[in-house]
Amino acid sequence: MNTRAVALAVGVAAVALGVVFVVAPGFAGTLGTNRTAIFALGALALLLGVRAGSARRAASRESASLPEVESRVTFDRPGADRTDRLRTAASSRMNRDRRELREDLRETAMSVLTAYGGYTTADAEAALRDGTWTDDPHAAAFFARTTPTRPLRIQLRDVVRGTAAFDRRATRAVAELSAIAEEA
Amino acid sequence: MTETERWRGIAAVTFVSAAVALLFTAPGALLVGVVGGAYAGYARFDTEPSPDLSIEREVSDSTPARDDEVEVAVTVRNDGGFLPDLRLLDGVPDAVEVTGGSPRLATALRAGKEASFSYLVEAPRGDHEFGDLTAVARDIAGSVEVETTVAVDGDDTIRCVPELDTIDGFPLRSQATRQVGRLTTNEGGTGVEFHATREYRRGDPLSRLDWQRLARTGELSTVEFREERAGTVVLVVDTRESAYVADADEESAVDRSVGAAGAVASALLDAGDRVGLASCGPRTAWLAPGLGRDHRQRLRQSLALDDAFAPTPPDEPFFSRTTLVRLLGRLPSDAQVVCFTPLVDDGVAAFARQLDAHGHPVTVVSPDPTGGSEVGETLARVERRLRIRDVRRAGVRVLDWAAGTPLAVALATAERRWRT
Amino acid sequence: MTEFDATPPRNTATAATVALTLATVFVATVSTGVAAIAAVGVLVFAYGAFAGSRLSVTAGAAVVFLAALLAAVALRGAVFASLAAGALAVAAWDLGEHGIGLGEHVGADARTRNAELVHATVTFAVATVAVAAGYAVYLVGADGRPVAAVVLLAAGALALFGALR
Repeated sequence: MNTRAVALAVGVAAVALGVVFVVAPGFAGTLGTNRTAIFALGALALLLGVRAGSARRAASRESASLPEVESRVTFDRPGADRTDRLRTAASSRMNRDRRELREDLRETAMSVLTAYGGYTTADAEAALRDGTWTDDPHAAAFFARTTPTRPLRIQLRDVVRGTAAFDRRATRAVAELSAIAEEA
Repeated sequence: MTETERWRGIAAVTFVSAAVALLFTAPGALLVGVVGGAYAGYARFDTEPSPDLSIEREVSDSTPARDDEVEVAVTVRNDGGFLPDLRLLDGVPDAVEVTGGSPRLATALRAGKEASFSYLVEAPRGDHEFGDLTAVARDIAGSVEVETTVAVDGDDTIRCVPELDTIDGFPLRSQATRQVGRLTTNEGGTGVEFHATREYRRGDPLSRLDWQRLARTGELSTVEFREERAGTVVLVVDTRESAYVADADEESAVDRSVGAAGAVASALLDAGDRVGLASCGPRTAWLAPGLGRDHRQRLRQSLALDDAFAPTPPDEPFFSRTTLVRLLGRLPSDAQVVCFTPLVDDGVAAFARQLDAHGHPVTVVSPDPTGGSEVGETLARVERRLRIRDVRRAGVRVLDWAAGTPLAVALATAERRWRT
Repeated sequence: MTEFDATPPRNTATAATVALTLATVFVATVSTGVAAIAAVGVLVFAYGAFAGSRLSVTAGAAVVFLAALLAAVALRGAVFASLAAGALAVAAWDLGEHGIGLGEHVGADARTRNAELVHATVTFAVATVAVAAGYAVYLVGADGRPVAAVVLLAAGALALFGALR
């Protein structure tokens, strides 16, 4: 708004001056070659131009938003929400989220081992704790009470890739459990 | 009316021209600024459009069969002043898919002139109502915009009631009936002992034809069974929100369940059993067991049109206990139950076990929607396997129906296992 | 499973790019160096016009418009070329942005010919008027009046106009 008033004032002044110069060319001689005035006007014009440009960026372009009617409703695959839950827990600040997820998965692991792995309940519990239920070290590490130290190479890779160990271990554990259930 | 603001900042054209002209003392550049002025004036020339339209819609087939393509033709007439920039979107129903052309049009329409467009749709089962047409009108420079909805004359519904699929038969479970000493066999209404033969009447199921007599004498006759031998079966379809999950072919478990329920109903009716229908979900449906052609039609219509079996999920809450109690109250005492559910959670599994425990033998037909290599999807697959195992160990028969397999094939494989 | 394709209609995108290329050609008649800069603008614009990016379309057209101004600076007498280039740059922008809006509303699969034709006709008409008016002012103003007066007059009028916008 302020710029508007300035532009208005400048415009009126410039037009008035221009009319004067046209009517009485004598005046032009004194001011016409005044480089500073012309330069100042030029700078002002540039400023107004930039102002108009930024006004465009600031203005919210509004237009009707039409719904997409061409496709019919699609549904999620089963378990899509579980993947999200895992990802959230893996990157969460609180250990509690990961602990809860681990315990839920432990129940499922127990069921799989007793139903398809031929373990008794006690044996299954022990196998999960000791990590002997699978050959995959990452899967085993997920349920084990003691976490093995990761080699430096893996630690560096985790930092570079941003994969949480939790995410990888949980994914491998689920994959191993699935393999046990399928083979049965 | 909305100001689109698409021309905002056009004055910059003029200002920058002036700046260049003044700073570099090149008056020619200033002249270019006239362009800015001209367009700014053009943009300011906004006249708010007031669209006044008459719309007519014609649907090529209001009662298509499943997977039929239907053509929708829309004609728009401008009853008001000139509309230089008109954009139209037809109100295609939610569950309907556009398979050809476009339900949209952009045009300029003089007063009194007409424009038309057409597109192809495929409708799933159910009643589908078209909505109003949305019209967005702009002035010539596009500075102002008006959005309205316009009611449409002509056809506005598509009703699809698919035929019931056919399978060879569905094995029922053995059960003791109230009447002492009578046991129905695994084959339901086609028990080993028959009552009498009579002359064949049109509409009699082929499975009850007396083939031996036909081979011997060439006469068509139907074997009649004692009515008590006929099974009473209630089909229960899982229609809770959690059952609306998609498999690898993007087919929802509820769609597969409804299709399977129709096929099983058809097979059981052919075998002479009484068939009823119920929905296990927030939207209730109940059809008491019955026989005959009218009843078959009622079943077919219910599966297609009843809100309970709709292709779109419910948003009301579901009360499992109430539904179980109500269903138990309605079930005839000698009724078996066939449950159609993807078994992606424990809800219907518990339901099935409780029905079985109350003396209604349950068979579960479970379309398998699991698959995929994401960790959550693998987990869902593992848990479903465990769940099926638990349900089987409770004495309930489960048909684990893989995606992409025809029901008849899955049934044949399972029947072999059930007989041993 | 068909999904809504919100890309701009190809005809409009093509017409807009052609208009902007024509503007570059006009600039080239004055200075090939400046035209090279304008060509970059055309490439950016073309991407935006076909893919549906308003930012690219505005940026590309702005570069070509600036090139038109620079052409006027490079060769003081090239009034018509820079006028035409400037007008075509704005017209191209109008067409390109209009096409993007059409894509968002009705998509690439719908018929859009009538709307595009009407809009294109009008925007080119405005450009023609602008060029004609500009050239007329040039012819009238080039008969000896002090340069400063003309400049001030015009600048003042435009500032006023901008203030009122």
